[in-house]
Amino acid sequence: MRCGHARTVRRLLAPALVVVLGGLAASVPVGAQSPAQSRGRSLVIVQAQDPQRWDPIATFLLSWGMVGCNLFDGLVDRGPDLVLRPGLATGWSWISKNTLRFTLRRGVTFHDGEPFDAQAVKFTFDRLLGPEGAKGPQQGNYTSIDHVQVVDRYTVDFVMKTQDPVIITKLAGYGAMIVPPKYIQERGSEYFSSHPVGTGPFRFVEYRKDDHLTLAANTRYWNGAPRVSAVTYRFVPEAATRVAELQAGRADIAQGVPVSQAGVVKGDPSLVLMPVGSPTVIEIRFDPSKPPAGDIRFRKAITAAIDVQTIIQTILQGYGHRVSTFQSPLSFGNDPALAPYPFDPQRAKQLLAEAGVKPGTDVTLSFPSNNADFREAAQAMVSELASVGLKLSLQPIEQVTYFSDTIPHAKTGQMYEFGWGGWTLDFDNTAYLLYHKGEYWNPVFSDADVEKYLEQERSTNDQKARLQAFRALDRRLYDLAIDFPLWQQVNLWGVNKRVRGFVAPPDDRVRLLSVSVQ
Amino acid sequence: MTRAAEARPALSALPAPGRRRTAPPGLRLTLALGLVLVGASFAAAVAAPLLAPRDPEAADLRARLTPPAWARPGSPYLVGTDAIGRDILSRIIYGARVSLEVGLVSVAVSGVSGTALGLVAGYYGGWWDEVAMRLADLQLSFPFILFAIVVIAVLGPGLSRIILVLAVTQWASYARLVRSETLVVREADYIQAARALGVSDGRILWRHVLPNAVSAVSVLATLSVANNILLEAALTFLGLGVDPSVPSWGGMLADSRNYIQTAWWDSTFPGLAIMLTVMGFNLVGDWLRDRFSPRLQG
Repeated sequence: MRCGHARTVRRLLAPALVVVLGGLAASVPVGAQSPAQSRGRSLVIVQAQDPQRWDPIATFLLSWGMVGCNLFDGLVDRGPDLVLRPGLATGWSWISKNTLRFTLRRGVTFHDGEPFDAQAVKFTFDRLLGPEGAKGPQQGNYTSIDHVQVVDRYTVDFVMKTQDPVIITKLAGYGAMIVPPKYIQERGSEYFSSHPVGTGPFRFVEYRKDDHLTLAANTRYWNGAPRVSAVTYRFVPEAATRVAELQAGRADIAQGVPVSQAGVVKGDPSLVLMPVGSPTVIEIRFDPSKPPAGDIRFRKAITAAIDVQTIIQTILQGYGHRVSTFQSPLSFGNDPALAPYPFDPQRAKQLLAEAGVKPGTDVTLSFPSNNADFREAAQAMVSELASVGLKLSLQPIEQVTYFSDTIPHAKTGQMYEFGWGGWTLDFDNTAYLLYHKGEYWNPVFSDADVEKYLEQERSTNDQKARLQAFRALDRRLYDLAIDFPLWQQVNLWGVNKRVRGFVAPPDDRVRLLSVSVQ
Repeated sequence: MTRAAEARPALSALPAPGRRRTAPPGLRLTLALGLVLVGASFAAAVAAPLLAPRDPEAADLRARLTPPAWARPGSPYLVGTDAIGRDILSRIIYGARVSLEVGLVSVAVSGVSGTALGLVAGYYGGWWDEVAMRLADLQLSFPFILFAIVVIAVLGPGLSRIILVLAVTQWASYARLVRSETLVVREADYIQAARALGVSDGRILWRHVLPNAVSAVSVLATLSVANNILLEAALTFLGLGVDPSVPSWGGMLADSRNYIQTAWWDSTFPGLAIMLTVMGFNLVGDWLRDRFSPRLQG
């Protein structure tokens, strides 16, 4: 009797809790008109991060690109297929070794009515390369440009200071977005940063920090009017909440569905899960100034002790691709012939013994605390490293501190997580900022050979020679094992079925021009 | 209390003073339940290596999110595994260590320091009293979670920081409680007598004043243990607490929240562990309060 009673209680209690907790996570009204339908032709997107500064020269965040590609245009345009095509310029050609000429599109106006012409292009790049640009993180990407010269109202010349093999790609993103001269001169950069104006398919309506940004369709867009009337980006840092909002119909598109919730989205009849391989790669970097990470045998032991493939198959549920250098297969400079270091715990033990690392040695792995997938992977690594005799301590750090202080000031543990977008799809950007001595992201590491190969690939436009230099660089980094590249990230998008024409973009730039709702 | 008991025998309808000391049967049952729950969590913390069926940190990725044994007969994991493939039962048993350590140490530190300050403030009054009580006001007016985030942002996360945060934010409650008890007692005849006999202040505080405050402090302390276990879980849930690989109940909840719809056991059992332990401390605390310190009844 008593026993039966206890069992009943247990049987009732556990599911009851789940129902209560589950109900908090996602409540779907039954019978009522779905909130998604009641929004009509306007679209709601939930994304993890609020970039806060909307000025293109003041940001380096993918979350900016997600919105920015709808507000602004560059001279060159890169869609979700990653192909470069004309944007605000209708064509371009090298008229001499260091002069790149652009023919501009006619009849384009900014959202505030200001006309787009050669002056706007000159203003944009003068601003980017001048003192205003020096305050932000974008200037460094464009220092190969010496200046921009106006030829006539619809023709400009880019006069180059140094060779830049990636310049056309760079003109399709971030700092190279064309901004309105009169508006910025009259209102100032600070106002522009919170009330952005561009030439894109959507115009700015309203922004509330850490809450939402609303855009309305620019019906006079040069490439045709958008099909949705308005779009609201809501900033929801918590992944489970984004999925819950999507399930409840309060959002149409959710960015960054965590792998742990992929099944939830997949199983929902009104939603579609869209995975897309991204240029983002995840790795563990070593800080060689912190013993024993200065010892190459220790670093190689770590690469042999962690079973990355199993982590990808289980924790990432296959949503990730193993990489051997810190770039995705989409990246120019990737060497597919390099095989990732194999999982071999015996070898790891042997290397540790050779390096004189005593069993039970404490090593620390730092990572940003909001990265749920890596947090799980890191905990699996604790167990894996324990079996080769290392005690791994995990140090989650609040993400803003992590990127603005911990990494640039070398305050991490011997190992730290690092993710990198590589949006130019050319290894140059990644490799230079991460391995060139003294860069913001590279406070410690330096190697003469690495510097040599970087110099080689930067100093020529000859793509064959560059590829060769990259291959040599790949090999050198691989041999040094200064970092441990783990996987190429597969981004998961959750989309309500009422949304048509949505293409999951590898670079997070969600183009809304041809998206419509039913 | 003695005086009240002496007055009572005149009314024959009331139970004799001796009888009053035993609690009514309902109260005894809840006390027993409380003691069992608290005892169980202590046993888990002390004897974790003996009780836990497995290593709480050993992950078997291929066995991740295995349901409890009754839902999947033949599974070696009684209440299932988490997202890394670790045994949830073993982690709950080891997790009791973190919870109790935080609960007890933070209460001990804040209790002892708060009591000492309260005694000094209440007994000497004047300048001492002003400084201690204004500090207490300052402390009590500062939002806890903001303080916790600031401290952890500056010092970095960790068990010792959590204990520090809890201790620093809670001494004021003890100080106020003890001060008020001291204010009452210090005018009592026997204190005056002791003073007249030349007994030192330290001895008066220790032997005559402190014993009067102990019962109230112990009630507050017991209830605070429960509260602090919850706060530890909350801070760890927010990522401000202990190293994620160290088994702790709050950390387990944080790690499992993404699986709440697909693997209910991952969050349910750590949640139950917190609930039952906190309930145990609360039941014992309530009983202590009813028994010793009727004035604290809300």
